[in-house]
Amino acid sequence: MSVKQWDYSYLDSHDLRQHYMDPLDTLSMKFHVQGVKCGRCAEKIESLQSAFPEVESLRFNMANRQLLLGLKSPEASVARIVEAIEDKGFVLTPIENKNDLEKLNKKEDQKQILRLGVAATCASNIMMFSFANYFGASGSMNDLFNWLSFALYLPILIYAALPFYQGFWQSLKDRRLSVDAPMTFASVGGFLFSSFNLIRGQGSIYFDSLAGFLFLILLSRFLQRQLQKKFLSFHGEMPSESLSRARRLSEGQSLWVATENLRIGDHVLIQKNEIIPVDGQLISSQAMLSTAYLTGESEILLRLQGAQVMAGSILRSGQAEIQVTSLPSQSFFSQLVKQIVDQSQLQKRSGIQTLSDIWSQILLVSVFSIAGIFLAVNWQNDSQMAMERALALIVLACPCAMAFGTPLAISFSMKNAFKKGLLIRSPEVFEKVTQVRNVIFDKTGTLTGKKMRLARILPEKASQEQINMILSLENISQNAYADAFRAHLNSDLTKLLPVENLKEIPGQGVQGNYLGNSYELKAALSEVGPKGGIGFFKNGVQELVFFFEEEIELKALFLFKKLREKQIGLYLLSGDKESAVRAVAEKMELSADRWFSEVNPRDKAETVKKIPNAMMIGDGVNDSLAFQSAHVGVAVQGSVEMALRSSDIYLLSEDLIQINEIFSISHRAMRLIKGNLCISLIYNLLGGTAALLGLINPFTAALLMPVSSGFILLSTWWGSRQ
Amino acid sequence: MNILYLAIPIAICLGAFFLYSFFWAVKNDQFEDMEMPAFRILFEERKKETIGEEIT
Repeated sequence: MSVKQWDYSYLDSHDLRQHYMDPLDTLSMKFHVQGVKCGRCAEKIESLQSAFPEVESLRFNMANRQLLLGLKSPEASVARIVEAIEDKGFVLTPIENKNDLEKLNKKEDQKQILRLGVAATCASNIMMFSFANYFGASGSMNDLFNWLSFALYLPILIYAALPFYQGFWQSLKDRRLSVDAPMTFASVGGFLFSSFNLIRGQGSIYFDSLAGFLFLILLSRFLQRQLQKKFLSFHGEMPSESLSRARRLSEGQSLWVATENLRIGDHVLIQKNEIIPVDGQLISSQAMLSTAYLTGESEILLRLQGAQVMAGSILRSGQAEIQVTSLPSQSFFSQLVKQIVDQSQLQKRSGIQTLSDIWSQILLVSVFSIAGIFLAVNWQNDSQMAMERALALIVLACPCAMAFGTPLAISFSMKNAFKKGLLIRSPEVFEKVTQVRNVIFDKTGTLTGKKMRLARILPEKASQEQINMILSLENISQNAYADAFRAHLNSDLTKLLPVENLKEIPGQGVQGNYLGNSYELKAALSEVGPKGGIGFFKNGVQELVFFFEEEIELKALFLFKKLREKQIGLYLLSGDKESAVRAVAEKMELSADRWFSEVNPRDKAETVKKIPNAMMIGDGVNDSLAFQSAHVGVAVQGSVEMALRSSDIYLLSEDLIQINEIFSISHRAMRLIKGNLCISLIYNLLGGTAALLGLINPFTAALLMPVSSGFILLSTWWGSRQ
Repeated sequence: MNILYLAIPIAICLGAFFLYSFFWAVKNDQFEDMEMPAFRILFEERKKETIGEEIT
């Protein structure tokens, strides 16, 4: 039995319950559970119900790891129960009541299953009767079975096939044809034609084929949706739920509070391997952090007391105390989570028509025109045959490659891209990337800037006293120079000094006072050695000069090599001074016409416009003008939301090699889509001709169409595997 | 073959009944969780569970 360490009463607070409970149902609350490994664990949780009379129901769902707690009265305490469950070794996090989207999705799923059920029941029963007819039932039996088929087709016509009619209507309003068009025509047209024949007493009737065909299409749509949900949901990949609460310290006691209730200035206690829920300043003497979720970097970073830590970092050292410096919703991390969740739940249709949309339209319009012409031409001669063949054509023709194959291929590609740390704004980005012929790099922050190397110190060495002072001065800074100082100078002997009036002047340096002396780190006086050093001043006298070298990561050089292999032109555009840009351009082996220095943002955009089919790689915020002029914009850092407004891709991991990957992924996606289109084209041409020649009747057509869809789905899934 | 005039309505009624059960099951979230019900039948019945008692 563990010692009661934390207070759970925050779970009973009015604010939290409003946030996490459904306003229409204040008796139940959902939690995400961590730590359930098998049925025994679930049993432990559910058996607690008998210990708490105020609990109406306690049910654990293994599929989504959720616990549904039902209370007998709205005033009952949730805290006691959660505490008891956590005592057993599980971790509970309340789940927000995402009323709108989640409930909507669930209803959609249910409706889909119901329609499938109706279609299955009716289709199979129709089959039963029509087989009797095929095997020779005659006379009044034959008529009876035909009428029964007619009756059983009605539920499909007016209920199960509804999504097709709705889709068709919607596409008409958008003034385009979608894959729902042939379905609608087949379903309704086939019904009318067959009923007409039935009443007349002669001619073929196709209720069985149509019913089976509609059932199979509904089935493949259902499978497609399940596939998407299973493989493409980002639910498990972002730890959004464990950020919902934090331990607030007050008067030496720690209390669990909902993260939204944290205020600037609050002190929060984080334990090992927990995610820091909010941006803050480190109060403890030091902490080791992993910023994997933020940057994809697996390296552990050292932060000293007073340094800024970002929400989303994982604490790898023992325990840390942090003072909140900005509201939880404003952290980069919460923006990122929101962006990803939005992206995965809303399948936004892009404005630009992609290749497959165009082909889809062409195919459908052709099919309908041909069917219509064929009907008109042959109506006088043999209207029966004309209707049959036209029906067969419409049933057979399927833009399945476009309707199913392309969206699936795109979704898989987006997921693969995300795994590599690439956030893609919309589907047409893949096509645009395959059209890129030139890549333009920004310098600062993109190619360089993450790491600076301390190259030289003048005179020879810094004393431990000086080192202590320098590190204390740079403690609040997050820039590349500060990181370089820490990387090179920090050791076990370091002792941070309580500097007064510590001030960072952005772009210039830092200054502070200690024991009556004033200290500064700023641009060095240039009598000593080459220009560009950083000087350490005590009371205005320069004691040391540090020289830094911008490091271009090996990865960047590797990337250049790969891009050159692809015959892609490389450019360098930077606002920095000529000497710095030249140094980098030389390392990149760029000819003089390929690099530009001291370019302001407007000129950058102008230059980018002049370079054809360009991919611009730069900072999300500063280069937004340039991104808009480029064919494809890739943001490497900056605010996610802002970056994705002007750029097409956001590189989460800051690992430049992934730029090469985006080319591979895009080419693979386009190859897949084009392959599907070819298969579809061949199938439609051959099948369509056969249908018009009377070689394929609507029954066979009804079989072929779902088979071809299934084939396309399979081949897409196969081709997207990594 | 006249028996069919009895058999078919019965078959249809049976089918309709099953369809209705299917609708009921889906609407009642019977298909929400496919794994837990299998475990639940194996849970032991506890008369009076107190906090802290471990299931051995």
